[in-house]
Amino acid sequence: MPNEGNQEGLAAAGWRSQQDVPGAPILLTGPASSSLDCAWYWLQAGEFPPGASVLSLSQWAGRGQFGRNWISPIGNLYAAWRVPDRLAEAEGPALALRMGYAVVRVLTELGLPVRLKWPNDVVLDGTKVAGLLCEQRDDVIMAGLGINVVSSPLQDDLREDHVMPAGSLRQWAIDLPPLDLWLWVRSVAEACLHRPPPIAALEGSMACLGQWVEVRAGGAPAFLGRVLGVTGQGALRVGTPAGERHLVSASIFYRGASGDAPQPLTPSSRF
Amino acid sequence: MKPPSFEQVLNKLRGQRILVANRGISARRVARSIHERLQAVAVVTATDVDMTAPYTASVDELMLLGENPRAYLDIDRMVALAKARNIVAIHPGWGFAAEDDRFPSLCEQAGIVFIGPPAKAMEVLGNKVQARKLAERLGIPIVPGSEGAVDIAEARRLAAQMGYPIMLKAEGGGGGRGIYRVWAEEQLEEGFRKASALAQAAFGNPRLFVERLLTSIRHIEIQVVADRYGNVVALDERDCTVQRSHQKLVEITPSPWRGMTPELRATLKEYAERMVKAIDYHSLATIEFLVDDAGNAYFIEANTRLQVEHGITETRYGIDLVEEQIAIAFGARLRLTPRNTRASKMAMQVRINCEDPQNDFAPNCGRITRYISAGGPGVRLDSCVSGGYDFPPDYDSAAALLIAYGNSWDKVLAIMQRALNEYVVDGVKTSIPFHREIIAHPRFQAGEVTTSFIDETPALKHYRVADPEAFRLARLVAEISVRGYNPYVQLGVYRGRADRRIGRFEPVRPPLAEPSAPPPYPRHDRDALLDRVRDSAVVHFTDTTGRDMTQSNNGNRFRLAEDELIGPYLDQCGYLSLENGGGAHFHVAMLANQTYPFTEAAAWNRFAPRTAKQLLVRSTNLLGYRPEPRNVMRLTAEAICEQYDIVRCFDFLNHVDNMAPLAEVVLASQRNVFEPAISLSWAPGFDVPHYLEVAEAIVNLVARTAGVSPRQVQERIILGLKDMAGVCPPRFMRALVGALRERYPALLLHYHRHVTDGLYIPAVGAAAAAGANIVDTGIGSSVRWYGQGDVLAMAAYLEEELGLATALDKDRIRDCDFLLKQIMPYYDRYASPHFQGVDHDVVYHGMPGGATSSSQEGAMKQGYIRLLPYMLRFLAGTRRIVRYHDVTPGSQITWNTAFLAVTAAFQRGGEHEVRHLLDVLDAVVNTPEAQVSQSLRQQRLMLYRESNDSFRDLLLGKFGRLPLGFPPDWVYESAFGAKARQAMAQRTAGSALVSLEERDLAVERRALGERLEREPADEEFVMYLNHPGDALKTIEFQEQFGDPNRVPLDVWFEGLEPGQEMRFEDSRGKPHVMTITRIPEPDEDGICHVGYILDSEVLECPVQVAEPKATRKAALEMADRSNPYHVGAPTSGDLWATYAAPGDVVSKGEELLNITIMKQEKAVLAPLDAMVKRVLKHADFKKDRKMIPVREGELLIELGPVPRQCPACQAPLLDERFRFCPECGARVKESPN
Repeated sequence: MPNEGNQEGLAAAGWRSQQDVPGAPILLTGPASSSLDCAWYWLQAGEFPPGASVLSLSQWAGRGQFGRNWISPIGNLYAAWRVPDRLAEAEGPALALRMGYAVVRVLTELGLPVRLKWPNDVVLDGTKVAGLLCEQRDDVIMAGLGINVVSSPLQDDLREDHVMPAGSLRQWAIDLPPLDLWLWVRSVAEACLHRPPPIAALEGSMACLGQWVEVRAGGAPAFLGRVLGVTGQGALRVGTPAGERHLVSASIFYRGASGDAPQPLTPSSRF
Repeated sequence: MKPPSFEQVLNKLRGQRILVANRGISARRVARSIHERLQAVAVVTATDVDMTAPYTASVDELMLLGENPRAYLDIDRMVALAKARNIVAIHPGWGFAAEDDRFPSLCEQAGIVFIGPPAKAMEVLGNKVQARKLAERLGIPIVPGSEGAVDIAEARRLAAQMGYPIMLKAEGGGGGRGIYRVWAEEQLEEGFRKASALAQAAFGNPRLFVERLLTSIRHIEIQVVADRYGNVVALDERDCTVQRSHQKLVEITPSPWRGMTPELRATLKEYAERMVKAIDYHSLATIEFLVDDAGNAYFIEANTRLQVEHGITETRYGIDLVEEQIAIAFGARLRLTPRNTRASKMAMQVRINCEDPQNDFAPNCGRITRYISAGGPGVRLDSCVSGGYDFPPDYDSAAALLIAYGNSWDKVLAIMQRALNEYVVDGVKTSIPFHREIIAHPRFQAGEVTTSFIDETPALKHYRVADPEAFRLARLVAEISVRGYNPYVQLGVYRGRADRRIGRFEPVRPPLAEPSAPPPYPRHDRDALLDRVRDSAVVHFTDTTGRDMTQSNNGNRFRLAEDELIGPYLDQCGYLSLENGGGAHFHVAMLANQTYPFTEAAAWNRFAPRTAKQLLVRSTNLLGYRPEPRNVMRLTAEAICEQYDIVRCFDFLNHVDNMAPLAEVVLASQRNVFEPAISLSWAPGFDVPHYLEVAEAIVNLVARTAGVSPRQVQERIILGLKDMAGVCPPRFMRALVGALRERYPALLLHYHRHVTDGLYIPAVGAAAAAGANIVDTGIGSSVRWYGQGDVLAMAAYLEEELGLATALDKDRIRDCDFLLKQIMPYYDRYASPHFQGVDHDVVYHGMPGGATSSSQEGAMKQGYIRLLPYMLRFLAGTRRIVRYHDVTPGSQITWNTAFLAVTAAFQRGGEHEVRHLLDVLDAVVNTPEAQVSQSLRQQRLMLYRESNDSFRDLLLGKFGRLPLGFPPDWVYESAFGAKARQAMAQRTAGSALVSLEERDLAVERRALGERLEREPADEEFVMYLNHPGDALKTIEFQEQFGDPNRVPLDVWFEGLEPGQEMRFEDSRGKPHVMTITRIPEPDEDGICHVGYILDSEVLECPVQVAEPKATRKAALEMADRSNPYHVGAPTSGDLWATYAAPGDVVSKGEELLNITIMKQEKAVLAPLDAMVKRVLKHADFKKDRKMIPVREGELLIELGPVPRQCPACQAPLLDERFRFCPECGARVKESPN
């Protein structure tokens, strides 16, 4: 259960916003199990209108995909946002992708050379700096967002089959209070969901465009393919010897060390 | 009246109709006896599903039952139909209604003879509760338990009395179903509720009775035959101990258990007879007992019908129980007496079911594509399947009963093992391999099993099912032929079926005689080999056709199969060594040729045993793509030393310390020669004095490692000179080799050069004239643009122009060349690089060997071909700033840097900007630092701004020490931006290897074993350590398809056309013939069913060639939207968590399962309060890392109404008709209907 923190505590952590906050309510909590839990709880209590969001100071049971743990110490951004109804129903599976793109847009404007690793991991020089998870119950979609603002988990703390190491914005000399960051992301996300960005823009921000990656889809055996782009619905387009495939549910792992610029060599390079 | 004799019964029945009211194995079995001496007409029932099933083939008439698959239970209808068809008798078979006690009555009323016991007797003996009572009354020991169905209080009391563990058995169950175990008092409450609910759901009867659960027991049963006149005979026991979930799998007579003494046998037989005699019983019956370790027997139940395992009794005695049963039904006297019925054989039966034991015995259905039945001495087979049969999902999974018989247990085991190996049922998964494991198990063979044997022995499920290699190779050929190209060689879609073919590969091989003279160079003795070379006055040759030549020119697609053709000739050409491994070849052998590299090396040593073998390795990575820690390097080095003699090692920075770990292993071996190589470039700074220093460093390293003096080093090693790009001009080589020769007179020098710049022959000639002892060449037919030069041309130049001597067998070389000439066209057409031709500018840009074409091709594919000349200029310039040698991985780093810089410039401002960039670069290169202007200082920072991590790692020294020191500071500012200071502080000149942590080899080996589900071979482990992804692909490919080198060269690239015949040999040398008969259009699932003939079998292989056109909703159970109890998938996606289980009571809004789609996790909630009836798909990603794809609208969970609850104690009321609560006794209102 969430515990509502006191004013001094929140101020001390720099949670007071620099400006007035327009639009849907933003709730702030102290340490909580997960900001998503808080959001669902308040939804059930009828106090979480569409567009509302909750930020937690820290989480002791932060959630990643498939119930995995999202390490959540104080100082980073942990937000849960009830996607406004009119925006949620338009998207279908591309919602997660466009949310990721919104985060990439914001961080890019801060000067960080971030990329989007399909579907919505935000990577920076080979490290993951933000993660998104959307949960849906009935018609309500809660978008959970974690951004490593000041700290990121060490290699040892990450789960065994993690895809890449974690990084934080502070490592790149960016220091922005989480609340301000969230306000910015929220407005860009609303814009991205309202008017979907063109495919070229999405592809332009992709981490391994043109690269050979290993694709694992569900229980099927892994296969190699080249990332060709995304479809209009947000599915990943992968080129294989047997032809192009569109994947909606898969994890991709890439061979190169970093994911920022496309590598021009194919795996069969001769030397 | 005297009972009729058997002959009289035969006379009566001849030509009469007898109906078998059953299907499958039992129908066929009974029909056989009807046909034999009885010579009656066998009529058999069949629903629409079964109308053309194999069992109907040999019967005379069918009684069609229509489309309801469950029609075999409708006895009223069957009897009525029988009456209408003048059927005189009905045999119920086993299963279905065989023990329905209404059946005999109905038949009697209709005037038809029922082949089985009378109704009353069937009822008494067939009902579990009544049979127990009877046994108890007769003084036969029974398993402690309840008299009849009990409530929970009674169950608790009894359990306390008898002791735990106990079984809760459904009254309506049978044949092993409806049994729930409770191990301790605490579990009883919940267990009772659950078992009751399950029983209600499965049998329509929630009542349970309780029995003690005996452990460590055997299941022994006695077959009894009785006639109408009180004559009863009990036959020897059947041991049915090997069971799974109370389903019998293996039955044996007599029991091989040593506790089955003659006394126990006699006792059991006597019990059985006693029971049958006590009631008015005739026909067949089986009395079943559980026997514990001490030999105590407990009656459990009786069966009043012919049983599945009757065959072993028939075999033991040489009798026909069905015939007897029919005769008895017609009043004949029992023919079997103890005198005339003597046991002579031992017999065992295994039940072959269409199930997958490795997947929790999940039933399988589908078309049986191959069927070869077992036969021969001692084998009896009762089956209901055949080749081409589409095994239906509607009935049980029994496919065949396989019996082996003989005079002794050992013989029976051997026959059964042999029969299981012969028996082929393909297209569906069967229990055949599982039975093989059982028969082979020592406990089974010793007769020391109990009923928990299968549950206790999970190893039984650890088998691999693999078709013989010829079948697997045929499927590979089918896949290639359907597409017209081979998808596994990783060359994309290089041709289609309609393209012209090169044609069949039928090489003409020149005769090759056994060599009369001993080999010119000794093998496996380093000192002898080096001495021989030193003492001779000729130039020695290494052939590179097997590795560098074909790597550079054909992308490494040259297969072991073709190596095997030319290898025996190469072996006799007089070469010092054959380079046949290492470099990129190691990796690509797996990636594209699906061949195990070390197996390949071993094969080379078999077909070319006389000549030493050589391979190329990189210092820090050996054969992989990243630096490896010492323990991995050591393991790999040891594997290398086994199959290769000369180990050439290079470091692209000439950072000699990086070679140390490899040097340790190779120098320690007397059999192997260490050949450290100097990477050569030709540029300012890289002059003769520089290379002499490198040579000195190498000599010192070897001296330190081997513990010898620098002088002695000269006799221990060969020094390689590796001009990877082919850039050093003849005059430079003359100078360099001359200087080395002067400094190290006894040191052998080995020169390796590429043809790319067009000056191969004069450069190699110059080196040889200056004193290089050994040169690398290739066979003429394979010479193209990026590998080595031709051996005969080189020899001619050396001999005729330079007056040097060689010792080659030129005729043998010509023979090899002729053969190779016939092979090359296939590789030229399909595996040639995109860009071809000599490029003298390589001396400026330094792109080495085969990387030239692939890198440029990459640029083209990315759409940047017009920028290529700029990229090459950028390369040329950068080489003069960041100076090292363009061999792997250095060449890749340089190329990437150039690519990124030029493309970024282009994106910024088009070609204009690119030209500007190059102007800056030119200016930087040509202006001494002191004269660099402020603006140039600023502009040069953009040169390396776009570079990637590898370039930065290089600058940090992570690959090793740059040969001419770190580049100027501004390069760091350019590449690292704000972090330049930090980078320069961090950079190191030490060896890349010191900081690498050892890998835990034991853990990795275990991980590999788990992935392969078997113990990996040592070779597989080394492959895996170096290239995990491709090693796994190769291992799995070979498991799936066999050794791809067995496929002829033309078929490998082009496939076969229908009508074309392919002859090939499998890995054991057995010859096979394959002809493709048809390649139809793909069906609506995108699958093409290729037809072919392999040896003498006609087969079919499905190949997925396109995406499925329509969604196959028919195969899935879809949710009925109007049904509130149906929970369907709201969207297509992957199911990753199922929280509900059958029997759970859920409330509205509770989360039942979760589906993920593109990182959106959709919770599916219960639409109303309900009880979970069925869970169709179950997933638990957290536990087993598997997700189940689901389609939108698919039915996932079926709910049912919540059972009413007792208002007083809240216990569920499982039957609508209850008026009082079974728990607390409170009065309950009947539910309004």
